[in-house]
Amino acid sequence: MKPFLYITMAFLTATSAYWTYRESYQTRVIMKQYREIQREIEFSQSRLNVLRTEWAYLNRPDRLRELAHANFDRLDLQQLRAKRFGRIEEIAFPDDELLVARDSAEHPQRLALDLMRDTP
Amino acid sequence: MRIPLARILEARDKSRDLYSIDRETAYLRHEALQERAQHKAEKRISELFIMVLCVFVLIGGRMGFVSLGHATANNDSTLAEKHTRSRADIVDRNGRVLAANFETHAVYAQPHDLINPTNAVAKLVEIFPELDHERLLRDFTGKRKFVWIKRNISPEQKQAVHDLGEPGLMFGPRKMRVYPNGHLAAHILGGTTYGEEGVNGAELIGVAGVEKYFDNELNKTGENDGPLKLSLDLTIQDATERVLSGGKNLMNAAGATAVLMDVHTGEVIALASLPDFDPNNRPLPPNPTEKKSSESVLFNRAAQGVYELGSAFKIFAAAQAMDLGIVTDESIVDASAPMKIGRFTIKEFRNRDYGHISVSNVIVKSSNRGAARLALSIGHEKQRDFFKQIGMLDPAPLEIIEATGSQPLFPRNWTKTAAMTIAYGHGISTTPVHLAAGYAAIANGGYYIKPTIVKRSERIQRQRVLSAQSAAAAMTMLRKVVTHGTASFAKVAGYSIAGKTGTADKPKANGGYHKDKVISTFAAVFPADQPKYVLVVSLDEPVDRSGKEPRRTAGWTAVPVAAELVGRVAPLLGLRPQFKVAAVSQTDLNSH
Repeated sequence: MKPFLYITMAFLTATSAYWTYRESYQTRVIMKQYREIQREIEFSQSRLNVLRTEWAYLNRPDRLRELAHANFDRLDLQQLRAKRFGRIEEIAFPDDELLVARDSAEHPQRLALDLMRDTP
Repeated sequence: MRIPLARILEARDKSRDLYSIDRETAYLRHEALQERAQHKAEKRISELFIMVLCVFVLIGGRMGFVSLGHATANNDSTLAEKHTRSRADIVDRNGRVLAANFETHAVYAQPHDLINPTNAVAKLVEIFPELDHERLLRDFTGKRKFVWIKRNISPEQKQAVHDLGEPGLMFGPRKMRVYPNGHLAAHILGGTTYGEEGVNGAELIGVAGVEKYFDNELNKTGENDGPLKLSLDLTIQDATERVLSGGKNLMNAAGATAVLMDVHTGEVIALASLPDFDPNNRPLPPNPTEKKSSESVLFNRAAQGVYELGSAFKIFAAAQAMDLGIVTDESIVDASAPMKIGRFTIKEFRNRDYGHISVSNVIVKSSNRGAARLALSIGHEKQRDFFKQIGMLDPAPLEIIEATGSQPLFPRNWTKTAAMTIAYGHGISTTPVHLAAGYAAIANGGYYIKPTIVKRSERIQRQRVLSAQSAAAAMTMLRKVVTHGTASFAKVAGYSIAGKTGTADKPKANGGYHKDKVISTFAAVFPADQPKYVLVVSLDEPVDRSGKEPRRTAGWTAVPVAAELVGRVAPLLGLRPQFKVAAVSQTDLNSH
């Protein structure tokens, strides 16, 4: 009985020693990875910050205004004024029949669906 | 061999072997010795056992604590971290960046490590032409162990310094505050400077505006703290500054200010003060002996400068009188000349005499005597209470450091005479922000709401100061000022504006008033039928020279600027213009 107990104990000790050893090294590896990721995050964050600032700088109203002025005629731009607002009723929509005809020309299978929907 | 004599004698008597006696003695002695040793060993073992047990309990306990406690991330915090943590950004109400941080480097020298100081100085001056050659050479060759050369260098400059190959030149990381929009909202943002400086970083501290007001909050960046969100709208702020700047030039004004505020939330959407400055390169405050601080570009005319804003105040007298039930809008008020209080005579603009006119016409025609008469009927104490309620007697509550010093000026003795002049906006000096908040209370149906520069997230604290009916009646009067009165230039296509003009002579530094210097103000509310925004435009010393004689009244100066502003800003605010649209025929639209 006693030798068996000794052997089991020795085996258990060896196993737990190995396990501890392995855990310890794995922890170290993960800590290293963690620090690396942290550094990466910091780096990305500062980069993101720079890019965001640059974006804001490129979109500063002064620059956009200059660009709008430079391309006013070419892009046929209009000042945003009250008279530029319209109402839905003022927009000319094509006739429903025309729409159906166009859609059916592009998608023949739709025609069947439309016809089904139209039948009461 | 040593045997006690007594034993020998005894042995002889019993004729026993003397040697066996000797062995017995030795045996007994040995036995005793062994017993003692065993006892000692047992004691030691038990002591050792207790010690080992203690250590195990200690280690076990610690392990238990570690495993039960919260896992704390080891993030290698150092002392330098305090400086390298970045200050929170400032963004507008839609999240567009108004202030952010930029990573740069500072360059410094440790002269004892320099190989060739003279050459290094020559090359450094080539890279940074603004450096002082003589001084740098003195610093490098003298006894100093540490010399700052320059803060905030660009990557190109850093590379150039790096290429010099001098081991004594070092770089330290720096956070730089940048305002990507330049002059935009300069007076609100304020500016920053470096506080405590070290090799590994420097602390950014606010010097003015929002940056100073929220200095602690901006530097204390928690884990889930986002940027500071202001109530400003970048696009509208820019349009406001742009139009105001044009108006200021056109009206030859020394300064101009505009405040645009949401009447229902108290949020300031745009706040402009001209002339302005670039917060990236904030100028130094002027020398007080040469120039008044109120003439500096750093001076915030909208939230810091207190001015007598004139007739724009009359509506408060009318609204309060109606609220107290003393008058209705049609009641007749005696505004006829002469009107004397003690040795003081109240005059009208260009010495007119309106005679007996309705309350509504007191506002529309802007009668000083009429407003004074209303103040008399209200009573000076009640008037003071009302002004207190609409925030006219306390510094503007805006979250800008300058606003904390905007204590309005008013007579300590709120006498009857004072009440009468205050009714038409003289004898009380407030900021345009105060006026905007007062008009907001009329426009939103009678609630005073504290103005704010930060986007509101909490419930709005509002306090009823006028009944809904009297607020609505006051609004009708303000609308009439535009349709029939002094603000006829405020007719903007698509948007209906209500408002009141105010032209006040500028006080001289040594008492009395200037004859040809005025502050002209227009406080507008739009859209008039469903008020959403209040806009206060104030011009400092404007003069319109387009006519035969110079015109300075608000109707000719502030009103056209405000009208242009509304026309420009209202579409950006998403307000739908109201037109009487003629039926558009289908053919017109299809023809092109």
